[in-house]
Amino acid sequence: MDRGGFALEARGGAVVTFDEPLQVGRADHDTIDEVAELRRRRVVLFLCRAFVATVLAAAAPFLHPDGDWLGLGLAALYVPLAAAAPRGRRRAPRWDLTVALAADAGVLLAFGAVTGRQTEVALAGLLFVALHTWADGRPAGLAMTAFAATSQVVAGQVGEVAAAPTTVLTTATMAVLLAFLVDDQSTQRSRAASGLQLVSDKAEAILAGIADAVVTTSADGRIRSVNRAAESVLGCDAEAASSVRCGDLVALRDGARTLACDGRCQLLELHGEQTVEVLRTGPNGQRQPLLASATPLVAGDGRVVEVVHSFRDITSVKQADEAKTLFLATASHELKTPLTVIRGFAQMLRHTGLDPDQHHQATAAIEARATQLAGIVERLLMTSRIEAGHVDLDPTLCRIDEVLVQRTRELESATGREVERGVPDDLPLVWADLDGLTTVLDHLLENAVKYAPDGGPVVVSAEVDGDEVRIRCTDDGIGMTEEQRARCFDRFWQAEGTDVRRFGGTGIGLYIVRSLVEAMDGTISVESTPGHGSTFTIALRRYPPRPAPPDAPAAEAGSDATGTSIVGEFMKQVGMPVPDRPAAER
Amino acid sequence: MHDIVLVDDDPDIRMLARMAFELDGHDVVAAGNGLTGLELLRRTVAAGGRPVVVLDVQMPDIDGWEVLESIRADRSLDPIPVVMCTVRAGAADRARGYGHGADAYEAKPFDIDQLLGTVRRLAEMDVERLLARRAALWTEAQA
Repeated sequence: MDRGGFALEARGGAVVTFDEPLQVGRADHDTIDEVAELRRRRVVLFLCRAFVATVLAAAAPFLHPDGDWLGLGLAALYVPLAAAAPRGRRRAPRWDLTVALAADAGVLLAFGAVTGRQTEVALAGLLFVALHTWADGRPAGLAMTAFAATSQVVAGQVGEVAAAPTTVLTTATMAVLLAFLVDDQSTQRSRAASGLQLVSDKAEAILAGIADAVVTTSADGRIRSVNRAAESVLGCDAEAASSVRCGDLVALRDGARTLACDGRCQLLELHGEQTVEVLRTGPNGQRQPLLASATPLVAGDGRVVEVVHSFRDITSVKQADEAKTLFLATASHELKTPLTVIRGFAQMLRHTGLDPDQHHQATAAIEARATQLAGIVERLLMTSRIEAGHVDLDPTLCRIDEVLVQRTRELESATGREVERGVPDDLPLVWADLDGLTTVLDHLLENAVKYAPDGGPVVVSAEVDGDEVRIRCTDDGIGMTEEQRARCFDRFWQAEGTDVRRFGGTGIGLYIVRSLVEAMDGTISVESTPGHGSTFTIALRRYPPRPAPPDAPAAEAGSDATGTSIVGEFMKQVGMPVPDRPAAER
Repeated sequence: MHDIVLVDDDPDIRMLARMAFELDGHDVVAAGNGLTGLELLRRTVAAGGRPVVVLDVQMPDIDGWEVLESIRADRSLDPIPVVMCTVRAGAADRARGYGHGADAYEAKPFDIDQLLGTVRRLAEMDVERLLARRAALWTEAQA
């Protein structure tokens, strides 16, 4: 119990189901009680039936000429009944016992009718009912048992019944009472044992289920146990860990200080039971930030017998934090640079000494930078909408070739950079939100220009691949490493601190691109080689889907008949010319 | 003779600053990156000038901090006043600037009249006073 409580308090995390041992204790006891009660009832019912079988077998020869066989037969009938006593973890419903009782009473009455010795059988039945009642845990059952036993003795003395059956009944009653007594004690013992087992199982289950690594060590730092999460958090094998010292496995640093683990736990010595941020040096030398705590397990004599350590991997939290800090720094840079130009030229415009050329330069710069600022603000807002899950896209059928030509021409006129277009003019329509697609293409094209500052070619191409149309945007710029490639669609991510310096940007462009493409039910991927540029590939669903092969089952009924007119209606609604191609392709 | 060396990677800001300084009677030479800026400064000094350097921080290739370090590593450039002119205007950035030997720190978006005033004051300051002032700023930054 204590151990479970300790281990879980030691986590120091936000999940605190086990922080109130009292409640857990009460719940545990309820479970224990229930299991013990079930077990008791099962034993009692079994004994009752064994008793009935014994009585029948013993008494039958005295009661009927064919008694030997009859008694043995009835006894044999009771063996499976006894074995079928209620079992399982759930509390048996009352009617279970009641039905068993009625069946047993029926058998006894039948026995009485066959033998013609109803009195004895009735007495035995009374005793039987009493035992059953006791099995139900009612105090009245005890009194009735006593009454039945007494009446047997009295009956024997007045000689109303044969002495032998009476003796058999009385002896059997005593035996059963004794059996109950013994069983009750063993139930008490097993109840305590199963209680401990339950609590220990529960602690084990919780330790195995939580996401924090929990390592228990002896007071001198030898590992006693590690939980399942330790394997992922600390990268250790549960088997192998038990042979090493805690310090060797975890190798913590607290700022510049190494937390050695010679003899005493330094985490505990320095920080008590507080949760602290420490750095772990991983097996490959990498630094892993951990939220760590240590809790001593103190024996009755005040000696520390075990130390329970918990470690939470906060690498992703730290990364998110750093990304956010970097984002704030870069976003403020991105906002302040155009503001500097706008403010400066606005101040210059008050100057009377400007010639018309300078006046024009000033106003043109203000206009251009205000437009740029609006774009940045729009991106920031878009990011916040994406974060809040409020991207409202309305995918319609788009002429992708037209959009591509339009966006690349725009880029050419804005930057003076040449774009090589490999866009066939017979591309099928695709499902895309026109504004979203424009934003996506503009971002990718801007990036292609920005990260290839030496003016190399930007290549944009599109092709049909199965049910998709793939759009590729290739530059021959600085490219990305594998790690950069893997993270480039993350929010606030930028290639390097140095690239922030070199290229500026807020680190949200590709995040927006990915979010928009996914919102249009498309996919985006990137291939890149450092120093040789990057290729971004967007795949969007084409319309109509690829024609089915002739032997494939026919398309859904109705779609063929109505497809064209639906598309036509749709295109009219969005103000696009109705193309012939989709219909012709069918 | 150039009396202002302007180093900033943003062409609009270069155009703005050049326009403002020239209207204020200065002769400006401008560079879009740190290396070119250093080269222009050395050439100007070699020709006998004593320009004021107006230096951005975030730039391609070598950044403003590195340019400042290179300037201060060269004893012959000691008399050259350097004005850091950057969006990075937190207390830590200012301390870093003065710690590296900057003479003034202007936060972007700057007030053009204030920038002109700062540059004019530094240009007119005699070398002895400039060095004393720089040392005082350095000491303050260390604290």
